[in-house]
Amino acid sequence: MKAIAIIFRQSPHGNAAGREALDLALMAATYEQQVHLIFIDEGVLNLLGNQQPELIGCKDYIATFKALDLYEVASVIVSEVSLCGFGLDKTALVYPATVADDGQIRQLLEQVDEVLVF
Amino acid sequence: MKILHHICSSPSESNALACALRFVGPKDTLLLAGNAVTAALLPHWLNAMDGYDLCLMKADVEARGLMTQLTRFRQIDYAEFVALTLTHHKVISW
Repeated sequence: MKAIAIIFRQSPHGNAAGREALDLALMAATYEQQVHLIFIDEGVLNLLGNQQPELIGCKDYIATFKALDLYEVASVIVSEVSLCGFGLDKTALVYPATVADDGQIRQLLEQVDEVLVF
Repeated sequence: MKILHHICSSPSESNALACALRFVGPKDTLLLAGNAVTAALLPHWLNAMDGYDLCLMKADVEARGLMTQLTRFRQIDYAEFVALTLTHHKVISW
């Protein structure tokens, strides 16, 4: 069993990065790997509520974030700096992610076995 | 804990280098490859990367004809790149 950190650093829908990251996360979790999701930079926008990607012909993978608990994902972390940078706070997110500072995120990056960035 | 941060897109293309610099530790190494080598031409990024172990992918520097401008930086070939991945606890490709 490996501990895998998957970093979302790009905003949703403009490209497939977010969707691919979530696909990998759910697949790894299904195979009982210890999966940690980390949202930084524009990646935090993946978790924003009230998105309607179908309006621009994009798949609504955002709804799947609400079901993360079903997949027993180990942790879901949002960068405090990035969240505040966009003038957002926890309540605007579709999942009750843990808000962490850069030091805490660095610690997690050290602890896990692999880090994949999307 | 030593992490090798592998960046291969230029700062004008993506935020990869900026992201890496947020989480780089004192003993980590920054490896600029591909278009990321252009960051070593820009004072802004040189200041941001100051104090960290920095190396560039030799092939990418030479491919872009930047040898004279970037001679002062440590440049590595692919074999050294593989060696670097072994002397670090993990590699993060941003």
